[in-house]
Amino acid sequence: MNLLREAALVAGKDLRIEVRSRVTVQQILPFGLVVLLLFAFALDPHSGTLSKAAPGVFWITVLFAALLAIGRSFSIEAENGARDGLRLSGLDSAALFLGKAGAVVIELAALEALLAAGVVLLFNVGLGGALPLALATVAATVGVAATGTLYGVLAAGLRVRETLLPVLLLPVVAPVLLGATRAWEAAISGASSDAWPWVALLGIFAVLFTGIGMLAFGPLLEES
Amino acid sequence: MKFAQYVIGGYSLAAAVFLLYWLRLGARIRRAERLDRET
Amino acid sequence: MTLLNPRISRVLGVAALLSLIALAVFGLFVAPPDAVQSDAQRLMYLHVPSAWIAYLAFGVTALSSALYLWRRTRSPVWDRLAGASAELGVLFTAMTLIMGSLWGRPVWGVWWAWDARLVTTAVLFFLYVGYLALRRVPAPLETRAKRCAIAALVAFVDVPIVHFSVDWWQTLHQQATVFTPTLDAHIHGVMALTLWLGVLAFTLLYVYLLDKRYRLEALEEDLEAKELAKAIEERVQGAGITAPPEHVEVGVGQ
Repeated sequence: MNLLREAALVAGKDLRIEVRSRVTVQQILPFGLVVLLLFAFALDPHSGTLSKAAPGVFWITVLFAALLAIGRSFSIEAENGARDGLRLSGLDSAALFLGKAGAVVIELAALEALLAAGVVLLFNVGLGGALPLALATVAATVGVAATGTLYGVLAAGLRVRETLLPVLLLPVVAPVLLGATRAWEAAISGASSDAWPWVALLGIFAVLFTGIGMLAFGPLLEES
Repeated sequence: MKFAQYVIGGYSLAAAVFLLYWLRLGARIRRAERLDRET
Repeated sequence: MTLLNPRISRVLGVAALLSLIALAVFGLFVAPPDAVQSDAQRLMYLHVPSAWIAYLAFGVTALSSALYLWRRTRSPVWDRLAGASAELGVLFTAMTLIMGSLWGRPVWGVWWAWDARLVTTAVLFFLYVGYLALRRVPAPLETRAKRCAIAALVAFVDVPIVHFSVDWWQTLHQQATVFTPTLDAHIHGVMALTLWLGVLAFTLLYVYLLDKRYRLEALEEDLEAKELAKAIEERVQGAGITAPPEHVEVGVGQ
């Protein structure tokens, strides 16, 4: 079977589980919104800090929610020997990786749409420069999902998974946070041309870590 | 004058940290050797 | 069980100690105070060599990890080396950050600056800490080794990306990097000599400690294997089963 078709199969499975369990919708999305709200408490909205910090606040919230989404992506494989099932399924491990990461991308996209609306409405920010903004967001999301899925499988079987994943993943995706925030700032302030180098960086990161993930997922799954 | 404080402090701190690490490493090795012999 | 033979290790240790003392003498007394920064600049002789060794240690961890993963060179030696070097890397990275901070404060008035080198070193610190956390998760040796090796390589790939992105960020801000240490600039004479003395001393220290740390790693591995064997034997005896003979000749070469 073709790689992308296998990946779609896996992603479809994960998304179907999500539709039936509704964990992302009922738990992770509200978590994201609550974090946004907490930032408003922390960064006084009256002083203008919040509007200026909006891109950073948005992306930090996405990162935290991604930790939950990735954790979830692997906790659904924890029971009933599901991981063994994946290993024995005969599916290409690169396809497994792409499928799981892809499902996370879609879940994060839904979250980001909601959070973006939240940022616009609550923080009084206009989202200008649509094209670089959108591309930056896509690239950043893919980068985070890919890297996260890689570390997710690495930590998959471990009892310390929930505490280990953040400490492993967050330093590695620091450049994504940097690039995405700068791109958003540039796009919002109208200086779209400044956003493009960041979009390029995000794109390179996404491609690189997707590649690494495709290579490493198999061996890591074997050991988990 | 204050500059000197930072410098002396820095060199002393560096010496102390390396010394402590070396001592602790030695202790960890001796402990492991002892346990290794006993098992 | 060790990388170096014990006599060489002792010589190395003494050489490291002597060169560190020499560094202190040169750094504190012989080298002249900087024209601009006066005495505070003396901390550079600790900060810069520390940074280089921190990155060297990281490189060793990455290279060892790669050698472990490549089947043709797979051996527990590389895994132990990776782990040992990582712990030293944390030590030297922390040293780099602290010395840099102590240097920056009197000279530029700040404990920290957001330039590419410093930020990358901070991220490096956290990457190492994560790696060490991963190493402590109990697992069969081969599993742990493979998992940690992949993590080390992923981290290694990330470091230049972090550096580049922060660098780009800083140039955009046109922030004359507060920490423009005189490294790239033209230090000559006694100052340059002292700097190289620092690099030598720290390298000797690193290799000496690496050998010792490697030994600890090998000992702990051996200990764990023995404890496991002992636990199994106790279980088996308790159940009244006779264990299978220890050495079974398989017949076919392994």
